Amino acid sequence: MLTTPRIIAIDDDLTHLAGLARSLHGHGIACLQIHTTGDPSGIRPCPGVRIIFADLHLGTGSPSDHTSDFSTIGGLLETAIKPTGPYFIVLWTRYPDQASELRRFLEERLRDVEKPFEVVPLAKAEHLDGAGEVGNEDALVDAIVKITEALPQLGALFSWESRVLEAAGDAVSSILKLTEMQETQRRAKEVGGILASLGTAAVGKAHARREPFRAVNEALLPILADRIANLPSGTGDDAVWKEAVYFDSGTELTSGNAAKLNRLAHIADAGGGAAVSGRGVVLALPRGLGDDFQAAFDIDEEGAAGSQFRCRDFKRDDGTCRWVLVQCQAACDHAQSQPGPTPCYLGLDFPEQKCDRRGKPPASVWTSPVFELNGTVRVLRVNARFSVGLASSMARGATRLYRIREQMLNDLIFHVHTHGARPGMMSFRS
Amino acid sequence: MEISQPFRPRARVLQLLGDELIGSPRLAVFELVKNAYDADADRVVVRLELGPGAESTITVVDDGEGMTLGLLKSVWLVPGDDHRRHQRDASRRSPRHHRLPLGEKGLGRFAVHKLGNRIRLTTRAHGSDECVVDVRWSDLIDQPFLDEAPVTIQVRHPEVFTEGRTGTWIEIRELRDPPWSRREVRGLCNQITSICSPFEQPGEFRATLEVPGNERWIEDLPDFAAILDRAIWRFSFRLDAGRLDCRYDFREVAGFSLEGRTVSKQGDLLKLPPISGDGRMDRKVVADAETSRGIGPVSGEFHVFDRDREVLRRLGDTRLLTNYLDENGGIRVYRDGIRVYNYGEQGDDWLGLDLRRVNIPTRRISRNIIVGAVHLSLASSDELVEKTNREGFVENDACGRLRRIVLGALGALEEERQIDKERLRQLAAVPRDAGGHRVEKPIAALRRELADRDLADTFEPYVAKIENDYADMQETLLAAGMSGLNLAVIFHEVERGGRALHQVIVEGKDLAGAARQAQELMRVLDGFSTLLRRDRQRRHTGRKLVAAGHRFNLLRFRHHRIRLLGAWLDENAGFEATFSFGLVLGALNNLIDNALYWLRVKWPDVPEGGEYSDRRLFVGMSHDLDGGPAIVVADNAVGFQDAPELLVRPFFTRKPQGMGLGLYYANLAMELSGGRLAFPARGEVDVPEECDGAVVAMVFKAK
Repeated sequence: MLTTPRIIAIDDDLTHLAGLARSLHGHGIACLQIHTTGDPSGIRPCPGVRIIFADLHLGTGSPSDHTSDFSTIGGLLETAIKPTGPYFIVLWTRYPDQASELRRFLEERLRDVEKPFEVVPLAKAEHLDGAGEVGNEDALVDAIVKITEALPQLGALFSWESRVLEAAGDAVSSILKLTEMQETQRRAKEVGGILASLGTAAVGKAHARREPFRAVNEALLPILADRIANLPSGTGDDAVWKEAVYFDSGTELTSGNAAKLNRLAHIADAGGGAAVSGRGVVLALPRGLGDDFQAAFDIDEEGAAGSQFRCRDFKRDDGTCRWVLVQCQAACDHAQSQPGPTPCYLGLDFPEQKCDRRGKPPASVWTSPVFELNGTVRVLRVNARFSVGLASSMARGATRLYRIREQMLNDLIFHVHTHGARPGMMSFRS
Repeated sequence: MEISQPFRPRARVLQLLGDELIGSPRLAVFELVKNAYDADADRVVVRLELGPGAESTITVVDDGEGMTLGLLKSVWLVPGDDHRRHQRDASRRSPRHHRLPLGEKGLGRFAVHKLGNRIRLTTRAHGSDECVVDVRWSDLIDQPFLDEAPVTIQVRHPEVFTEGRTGTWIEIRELRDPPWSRREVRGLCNQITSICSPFEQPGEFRATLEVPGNERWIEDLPDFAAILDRAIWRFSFRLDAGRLDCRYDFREVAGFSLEGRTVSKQGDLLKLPPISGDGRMDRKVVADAETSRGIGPVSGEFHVFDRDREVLRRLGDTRLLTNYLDENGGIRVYRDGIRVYNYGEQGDDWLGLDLRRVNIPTRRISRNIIVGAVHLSLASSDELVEKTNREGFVENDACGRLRRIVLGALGALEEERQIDKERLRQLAAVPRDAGGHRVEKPIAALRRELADRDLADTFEPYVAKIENDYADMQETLLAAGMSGLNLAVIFHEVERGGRALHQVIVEGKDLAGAARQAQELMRVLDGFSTLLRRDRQRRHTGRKLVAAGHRFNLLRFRHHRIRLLGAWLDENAGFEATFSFGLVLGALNNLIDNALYWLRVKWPDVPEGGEYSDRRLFVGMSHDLDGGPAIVVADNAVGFQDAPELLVRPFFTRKPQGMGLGLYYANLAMELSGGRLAFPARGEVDVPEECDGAVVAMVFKAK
């Protein structure tokens, strides 16, 4: 329930450590101090850490070169701090010129945890006096601010992240404001009631009882989305963003990079759960349908791939193309887990270079933007005329491949529904 | 419209090639001597006639193959002609002495312009007439373009090279200022005699200097052989395709009852020093065939002197030796027996010997105590290309590898020398008192120098830190009654390091390097910061200590594909003992650090993604040793070659770039925790059979 720190400082010298932390605290910046005396077992994971101030020499002997110091920092990252998100290391040291070597070392050798986005030096010699005390706390914090400003892109993204956290806080706060009770226990009960109302409104009482988190989450999402969408620009943010975003970087977006961005925007991991649960889930064609494609869809695979999905050189078993089903259940049906077969559409997921560009695909076909998956650039084509009602028994054992995110899924659903709802009209021409 | 227009060099390009490309008049003479070598001469005589009364001249006469009119026209008068280069690429050797040519760019002869304005060249090849060329540079370069500056060649019946003799005779007049002084001439004499390797003569080639009327100027120059005779250490080596043969000799010194010592190794490994900087260099720790690619076999001879007052006093005529070393100390490079300039010249520290000395002055050899030569073969060192200005090789990858090889060989010498140096010091030096050393003087001198050079801002943080740490260490350790732990050696070394840094600053050549070395000196002291800030002694388990050692070295174990054996991840607590955790973990880290290095020396790297290497590292708990429970660390590397008391002595190391503080620190840390560091025999503790290298035990105080 309690969040882990976003800024930490590690040093074997208590005076240096306290001086750094005190300077940051004095400017309203929270920083967790970790004083290492060699025993790493007391250091708790800080997965959400964004800035790590690390001394180079953590008092672990007098080895022949800095490699051992680098290894100590790497060992702490990998086995104790375990950062999961983007972060950078500020090498708070008397050996600032070792920052690039440390970065190279970590880049090459760190495994299983996120690698630092950057390692930047902060020279102790410039900020500590002979007794190891911080000479000028303002100057130290200024130097730190300069470091963050030198990485404007990271600064901007971190700033966005904290604004989103603020938005989430605002959403939570707005719920709490709905309460009228003053006494803590009664107020807590009242909040519980509000959450129940929100969950019930989103997915119905029975489902909210069964899966309260999912239910309340469904209800809070639009509230949060609205707050995020309407984030006001904070003080000084404009300058940060203007510095961070390059419109004239001189490089065109490559197809590979576009595919990666599309993946970021539209494709998510499938996640766990029953095969067909989850809107937008993309399933490998279940065995019952795939074993006798002709019987299921009234057309053979090669014919369907070529004429109905406009895929060139389709070969059933070469592993490059795969038939899939895309779950397109209505949001309310999904939320309320209504019984009955789950509506899905047949799709073909294949490498982009196999797109048949001779003429337009049939009007019933929806084509995704290119996206990167397992190192290849692919497209997904779904044909609105190949709908499948999938009973849970049929879906059993089917593999979940990935999930289409909300925005793209809505585009797909809009397409298949408008295609199905298009009116036909008799007309006569002379 | 298209126009075809050739380049049209100005006549002054000859001046640029000669006068401005060659660094000094001495190097200009060297170029002419080198041409004589390429002409297959037996002998070349450089004669300086320096007035007074008559006009000063320089003559260079060789008895080589000379030049025909055709060669003169097609090669000598063609700047940048590359016939020597072709000759070398085709491995075409000279007919008489089977030499490969040293010249390659066709520019060396223009160096004469550096010496004087007028030149007369007389040359005669076998079976040809004699040709004479007169050149007055000032007339030539006054012409607007090179093709408008003709040179007259006179072909005549032999007058200089009579009776069938061949060769080239160059006379230079209207010498340039400043006039040749006694000092300059002595320098030139040293240079000419060092053109050929004193250790490996290039067949029948001899270069001599004559100074008619001023013979006194050079007659008292020290005899090279006599100087070498006063070296206390001699080291010779040959590295070929990763295989090192070497011999180390420590000779007896008159007045010291100390036996000489010789160590010979055949087919050994050459340990390479690490390269600091941008990481482009490979990180291998021993030389292999790849290290010598484009360099070929490297051999060398180092003669090392001792300038400690007590030793010098016994050698007699101190001034002659120290003056000689001040002017001629360093390591020179010879290719096919001929000098490659300017390696080993005064002012050139191509190996960074003086800088590297700052942090470990006692063990490291500086330029002013060594006379050394490195020999290369022209035929196999094709990746070493000489710069046009004759200031060493072009700085490429091969040149970097050559540096590492030579520093590695020097490290092998230093490895053995430190043993005899200490024996000698014990006999020669006044016993040290740990409290008697003061860093104030060298630090104050350093500060003054930095202030004079406006460098105080850059260096003050390092200087202040060194000063503070030194004072802290002295106060803390001496107050704690630990004066018996060789601390005097540490204090003394820091002071000497401060002086060495001072010297580097005074020379002012490589300030970035000096800053790096100041950091390294700071690191010597920083290594002891854990001692000063050690956490309180408490009860800890052996298991917890080993687990921490594993965590902190995990990335290195994985990267170097070390197979871990024993109790690294054992859940069993092992034993409990009272110690300062950080301090003792530092000791364990040092043992691991050592083991990793020696495992890399013995076993080759395994490519990324491959299986485990043959490297094994064992850690185990033992109750078999006297005194208390122990953590035993063992590997399957090369094992210890030295006695335990030597291993734990500060600054003793066999790693080329190590500081020699690892085992010293580990020993100190264990003693401060009431335990000891032990080097048990294999039978004394339970160690897997496959770990047949070093075995070290951290023995803790029993309850």
